[in-house]
Amino acid sequence: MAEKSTPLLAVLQLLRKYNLKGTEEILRKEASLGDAEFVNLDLPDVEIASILTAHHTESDPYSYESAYDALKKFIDSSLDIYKYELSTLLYPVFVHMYLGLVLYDHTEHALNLVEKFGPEQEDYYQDDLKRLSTVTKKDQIKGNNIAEIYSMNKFVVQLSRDASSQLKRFIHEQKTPSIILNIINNHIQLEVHDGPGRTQAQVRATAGGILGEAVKNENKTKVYYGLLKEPDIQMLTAPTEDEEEEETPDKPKKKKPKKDYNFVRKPKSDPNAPPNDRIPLPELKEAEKIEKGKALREASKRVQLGPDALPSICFYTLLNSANNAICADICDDSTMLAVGFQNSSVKVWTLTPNRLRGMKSAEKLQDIDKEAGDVLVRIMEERDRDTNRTLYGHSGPVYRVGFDPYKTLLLSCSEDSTIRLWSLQLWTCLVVYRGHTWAVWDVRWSPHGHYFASAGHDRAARLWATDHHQPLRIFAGHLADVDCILFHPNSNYIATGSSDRTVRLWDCLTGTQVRIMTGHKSPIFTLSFSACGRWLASAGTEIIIWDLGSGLPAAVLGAARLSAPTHALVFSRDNTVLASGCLDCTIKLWDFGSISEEATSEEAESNTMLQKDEKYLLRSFPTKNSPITSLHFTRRNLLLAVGTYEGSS
Amino acid sequence: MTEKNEKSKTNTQTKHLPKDAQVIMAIMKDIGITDYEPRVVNQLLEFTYRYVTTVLDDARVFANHAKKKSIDLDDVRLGVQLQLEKNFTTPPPREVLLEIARGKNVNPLPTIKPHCGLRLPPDRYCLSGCNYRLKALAKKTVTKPTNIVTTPTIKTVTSKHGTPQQNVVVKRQPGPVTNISKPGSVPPKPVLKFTATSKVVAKPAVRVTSGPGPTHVTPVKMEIDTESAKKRKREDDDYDT
Repeated sequence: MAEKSTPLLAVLQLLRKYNLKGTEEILRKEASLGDAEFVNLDLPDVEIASILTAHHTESDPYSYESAYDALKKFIDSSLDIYKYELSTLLYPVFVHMYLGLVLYDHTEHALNLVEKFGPEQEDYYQDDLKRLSTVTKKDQIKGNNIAEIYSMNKFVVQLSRDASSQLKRFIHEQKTPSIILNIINNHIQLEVHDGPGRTQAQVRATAGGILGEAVKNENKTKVYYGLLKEPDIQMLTAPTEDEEEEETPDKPKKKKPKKDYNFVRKPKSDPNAPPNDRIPLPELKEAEKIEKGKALREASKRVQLGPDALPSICFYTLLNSANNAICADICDDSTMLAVGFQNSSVKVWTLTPNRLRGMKSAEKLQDIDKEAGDVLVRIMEERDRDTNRTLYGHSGPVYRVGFDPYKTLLLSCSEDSTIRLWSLQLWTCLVVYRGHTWAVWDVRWSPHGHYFASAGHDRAARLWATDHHQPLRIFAGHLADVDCILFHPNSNYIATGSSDRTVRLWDCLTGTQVRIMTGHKSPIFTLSFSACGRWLASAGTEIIIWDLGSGLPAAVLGAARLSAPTHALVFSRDNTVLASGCLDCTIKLWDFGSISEEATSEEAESNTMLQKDEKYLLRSFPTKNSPITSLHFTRRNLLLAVGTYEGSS
Repeated sequence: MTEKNEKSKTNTQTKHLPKDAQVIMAIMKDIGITDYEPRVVNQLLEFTYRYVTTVLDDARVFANHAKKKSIDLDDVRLGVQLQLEKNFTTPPPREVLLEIARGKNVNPLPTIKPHCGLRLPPDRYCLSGCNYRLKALAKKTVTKPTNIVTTPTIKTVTSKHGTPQQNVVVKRQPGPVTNISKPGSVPPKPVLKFTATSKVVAKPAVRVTSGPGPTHVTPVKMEIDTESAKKRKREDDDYDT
């Protein structure tokens, strides 16, 4: 293809993509492009985008630097109320200037630009910049992830109306307006909002996403963040319990002194709760009802936590597994611990004196009395008991293990792109779920069982059910791999955190994204929903608590202090304390009760950011050289932590 | 002074390193990696050599196919592309993912049928099939009447040298139908008679009778190998001769 006609061919292909046949014909005739070149049109999208924009913005490379300088000076000299919003414009302009120069083979100018203005960009963009600066030629743009992301998608910048009018005036005043104007027109999406310009704190709170902030419309869908109406569970009266447990927990208990989120049941439904049949959920079987009854009974004996009553912490240290143990999980009633290892094995330990029993062989099972009351105990082989069991099957490091809510199954996901379902009675693998083509970083059960969700390197998260060998939903939209995933307590929504520094909330029913939350300055490693379902906490190097109703951050914890990433995050069972475990070997307790109170009381005011994390940090517990792998609150609000002893390094 | 000595020492050490290793170290410095074990350089070198030789090999194949005398730039390009598609694949592009997701998310979530026990996918997607195991010695059990006329299985036993050679022939006649697992039934037991001869070839003399055998129920081992010759002898002792 001749160099001259490449832009025209790109236009032709674009017209064909949009099915504008008439226009295509006319263009073909006028530009006298023969039919012979008809078949060669399969330029990848990236190249088309770059060709078309490059055609627009080719201008003197020397002027790029001066244009950027001028923009910077204008922003610095503008009023404070506009300055911080406008300064979010600097980074995308810089990136697209660089890409434009590279596209036109002005490599030295591009390098000069990076040298001069690169270090001035925000520190959370420095990593991306480093990766972007390895692109020095036009052909390399296609292979580089970051460059592709920037050339294919628009960067979102939110400005107040006054700020945007200031910006327009500045651009029109420029002698060479073309560069910046073209960049803004083609690559940046300016969202104008009514209201005063935001303060530096407010801007900083939502900055950091790889493509800027969220578009306002994206966070407008109604999210049902309430909890489902729990079915009637006739709690079995244990012999030593008193009369409080005889009623079903559905009715609000006025004589109960504690006001737990579990037990507050309004006779009329919560407007924010989804209907029970919004997504199909499994009915409870007999054994599961018994488990649930037990859970509710234990919940009633829960210790109330608060700033004056901090939880006790029981720490399980894994020895001799410094580079080996990757993930750990404790089942809901805190009787078993599972650990996933680098050598692709999974080990399950029992945390109580009850040993792990295997099931009887088939011949023996024929002989047992099926009508007996304790048939579930009789099917287990008395002689086959052990304190720990090892499960082999994966062919790569196991990145996450998870117990199902009823303690019969265990899920594990691994670098070998499979998810395995193990039986905790037979101690063998039951199913291998294949669907991801790359490493699977996280897999989690739904709180009601039956569904599970996985997140992988292929930038998509999937929803599965145990009885389907293929995923039911695919959640695509992240720009980098999805690092962590979590079900909402009502099983209707899934939250994902990714290396593109955004947290997204997806609807299980439709598979669409309902919330996108930016503000993290680092990849996100772990998520946790509050017990009431309204708040989502996500942690990377700082912890941000999001209000799911609006999609805005309610609090940012630990931004200044934490230098090591947080890999474990859990809310207490009564929503008062948030515990976080860091790689710098500390467990920190935060006062979530006051955070939620302040956030709900300030609901009338918009855009107030809470930054002072000093008053929310209750205590910090350091360990000796054991980074925290996992945290778990028992039903009675005792905090269990699992970590591997690293030794002196 | 000592610092200068140390610096010059490391300089001379790096000078002794081959040029390729120095290139790798320069690349690492460029990207910004300063802290690495020395074996990393070796591993990267190995990878580089392997990659380049693979690409050039493929390029030579392409050049030969195109009947060219020497490798051309296009051949190398093709070779690189081949490697890229085979070994250095990347996750699918975003549009493809969005398309697939759109197609998949349209289907409603399947209803959950009431079911006892674990909800698992259809059996062929599970690992819950019967396990097969090989047993060291196959045991033949008579389980149903067969219309097979006597299927004589003749096996010869050659014991180790030193012991007199014995040719044992077992002839089995499926007699009345019996299931060995049923207690109380007496399977037909072959009665063996063997003659010990000193010659290599001996005429086998076999007498098979069906009748009440020994009381214990043991299936007859039909597979005889040299190691079990001794066992065979033991069993034969149980029989009436």
